[in-house]
Amino acid sequence: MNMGQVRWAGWTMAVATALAVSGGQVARADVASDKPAAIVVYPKIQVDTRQTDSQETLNTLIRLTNTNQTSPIRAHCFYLNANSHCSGGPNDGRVCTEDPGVCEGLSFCVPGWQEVDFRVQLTPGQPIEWDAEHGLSGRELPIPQGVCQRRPSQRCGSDADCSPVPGGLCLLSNAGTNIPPVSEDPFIGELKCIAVDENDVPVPRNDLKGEAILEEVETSPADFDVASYNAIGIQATGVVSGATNELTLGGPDAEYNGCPNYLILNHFFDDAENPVPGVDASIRTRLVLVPCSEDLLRQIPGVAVVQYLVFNEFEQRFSTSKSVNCYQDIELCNIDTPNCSRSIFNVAVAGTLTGQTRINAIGVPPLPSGMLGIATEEHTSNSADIDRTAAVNLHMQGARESADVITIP
Amino acid sequence: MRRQRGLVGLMGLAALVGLGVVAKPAVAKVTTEQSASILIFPKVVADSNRDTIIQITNTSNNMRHAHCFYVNGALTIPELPPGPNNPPLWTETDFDIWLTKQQPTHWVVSTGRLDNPLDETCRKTSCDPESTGGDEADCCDAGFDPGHIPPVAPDFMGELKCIEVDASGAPVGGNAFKGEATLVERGAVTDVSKYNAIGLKGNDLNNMDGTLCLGGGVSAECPTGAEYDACPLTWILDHPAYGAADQIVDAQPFCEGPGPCSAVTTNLTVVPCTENFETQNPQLVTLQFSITNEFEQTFSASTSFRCWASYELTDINPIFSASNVGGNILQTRMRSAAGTPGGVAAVIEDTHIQCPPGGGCVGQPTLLSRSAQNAHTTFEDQPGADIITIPAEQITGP
Repeated sequence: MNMGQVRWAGWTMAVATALAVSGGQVARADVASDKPAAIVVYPKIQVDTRQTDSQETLNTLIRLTNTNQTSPIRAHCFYLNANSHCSGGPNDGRVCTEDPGVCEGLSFCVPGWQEVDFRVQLTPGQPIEWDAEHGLSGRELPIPQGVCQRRPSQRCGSDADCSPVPGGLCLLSNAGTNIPPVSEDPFIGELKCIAVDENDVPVPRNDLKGEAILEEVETSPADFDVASYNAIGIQATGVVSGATNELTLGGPDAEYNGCPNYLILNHFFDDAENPVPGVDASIRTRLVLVPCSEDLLRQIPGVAVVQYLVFNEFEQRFSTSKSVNCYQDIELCNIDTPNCSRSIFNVAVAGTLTGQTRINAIGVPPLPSGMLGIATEEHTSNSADIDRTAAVNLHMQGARESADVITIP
Repeated sequence: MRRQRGLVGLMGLAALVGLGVVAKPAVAKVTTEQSASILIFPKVVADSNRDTIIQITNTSNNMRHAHCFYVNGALTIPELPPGPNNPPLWTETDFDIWLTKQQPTHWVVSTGRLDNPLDETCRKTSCDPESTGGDEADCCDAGFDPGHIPPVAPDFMGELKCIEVDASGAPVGGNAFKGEATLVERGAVTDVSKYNAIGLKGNDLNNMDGTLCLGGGVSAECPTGAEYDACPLTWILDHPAYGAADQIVDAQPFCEGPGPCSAVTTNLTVVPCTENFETQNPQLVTLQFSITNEFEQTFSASTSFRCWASYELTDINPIFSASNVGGNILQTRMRSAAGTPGGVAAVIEDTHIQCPPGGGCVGQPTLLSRSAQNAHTTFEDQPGADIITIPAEQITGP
């Protein structure tokens, strides 16, 4: 071996060592709701303005922000409608998510999962906000159209439109954005936004962040309640693999960080009394889960059997499981039984006020999937018929061994 | 030969790049959704109007211990405005907790929690809130008590910080804890808001002394370098402009009248990452704010604080006001100023109010609801180390 070969071998080894050791830094397997990301997931979007059974309306304020202070960003967003509908009978097509009993006669309440997509163009550092019932479009947009820098009265789509003014630039705008209202009222479902380029090809830019504010308003007597959570961010790794419309989350060729192995929820057991002196309220918690894998091209939602390990303050352990197909928004005590008083999530069964629940999704065909989620905690006054809610992001642990895939049209 | 040494040096450099020693990009790992070794609850309140429930869980399969500090940032005379003659108290109270494997626990800040193994479980009794923290707490405090949690001083406003330690009291990086704080409004309408504790993960370089090194490199104070993740360089807060209308509430029939009948205000609570519980002499931290509205217009502001601060945003600078900033929704990037000792941890809380018809949003709101929110962080760390110093008698190193 001559000196040149020795040097070549040395360099090869050094570079190989460098790549081998640093390779793991590219794909950090942490989905996070406290850092900007290339995909943001809002697990719970709700709208209900019917006021059929009460004077109560539900709506959701959605915030989406470009955290990049120098470059604009485009997001391809999908509302996923998880309403169930009656099939057949006199109420064919009616929403039956909350009450399957509305499907009269020879009619069944069929779970649904349907997407509506739209694009959002954000200028550098720009935050926007809209309410799910109405959306945001046209003149309601903060910067509906570009204008020429040197002639603000002239609208433009590109710098060319600003000629012949020397050096004229077309300022950035939200042109191309049209956020529709949610497709139904009532609506329950998910919103997912993916960073894309001008050709709608997903790009590994971890610049998006978001929040959702769930608002419940009663008109008589006047009252309202707000609860907010951070959108869950799935960071891009910078790796590009496979088809451009198939986004790989985790696994050996991860384009995005993998979904968590465990979700961890600290909660009050259902029907626990709020322990603060001077307060007379009881507490219930709802758990919202959405799948990581979603085939939006063929309308196939991710499916998993979700295992729940429940620990009380005596370190006593219970467990149960329930399958999730496309979407779940459920009170904890209805996970294992329709009878809340007999549930392992009920305070009188668990025996202590608070618990830890570890949630492990086992993916099953046709589209095995991990899960992401949030929880909402409802404090109901025992003396006045008033609810107050807080939403909270779940903790996460580990990353799934197998990849999740989001397929976009 | 000299050329060969240069080549070897370059090869070594390449290997070091791979090891992340030289060119590893800074990645802020402060987290609000993963188990960690240091938990920071920036906003803890216990006064006549509000109280706080703390929940902490051991997510590991071993018994774990933590040493916790309350830091009282309330004014010496709460009824009077702050000033040189009415400074914040900055008093610290510490206690220990220990949790069995996977054990969750909770306590109410105003009452604390007694170590009483005779509490009845919730299977036989229900929780009477007036007994919480006392000898007869029963269901309210049922479970393996995590130790004796003291009640806080009256009119407490401040921070809770819990640091994972071993059975002897020496700090360790086990990353076993997660936590939440629920802020509860007393009275018939029990308004609640909730946030996740901010977590700093520990690593295997912990030398188990009373000087906890958050980020940074090797130094005289930190002979093994960073023992915990660094605090972030920048926090990103999305919030409504102060006083902007809540468009959903404003659209309701009961909101008829001239002008908006609702408003949203935002409160920001910050604590420094560097804290010396030995000298109890907090350093002045200057915060810089860069504010962008939805029209891509950018403004800036700054303020200073020591130890703990909770601001209505317009108390920092009137530019946060909807009438001044010219927008309804803002992205605010907050960092500690260059030369300031270290980073900060933060949480925000929005208050949505509905005001009397026709009167605008001035005076007492008729309705109110709050929501707390964890802030986002950028991917960059504080460049230097933040140091938490625990008094020597509170730890027993190896």
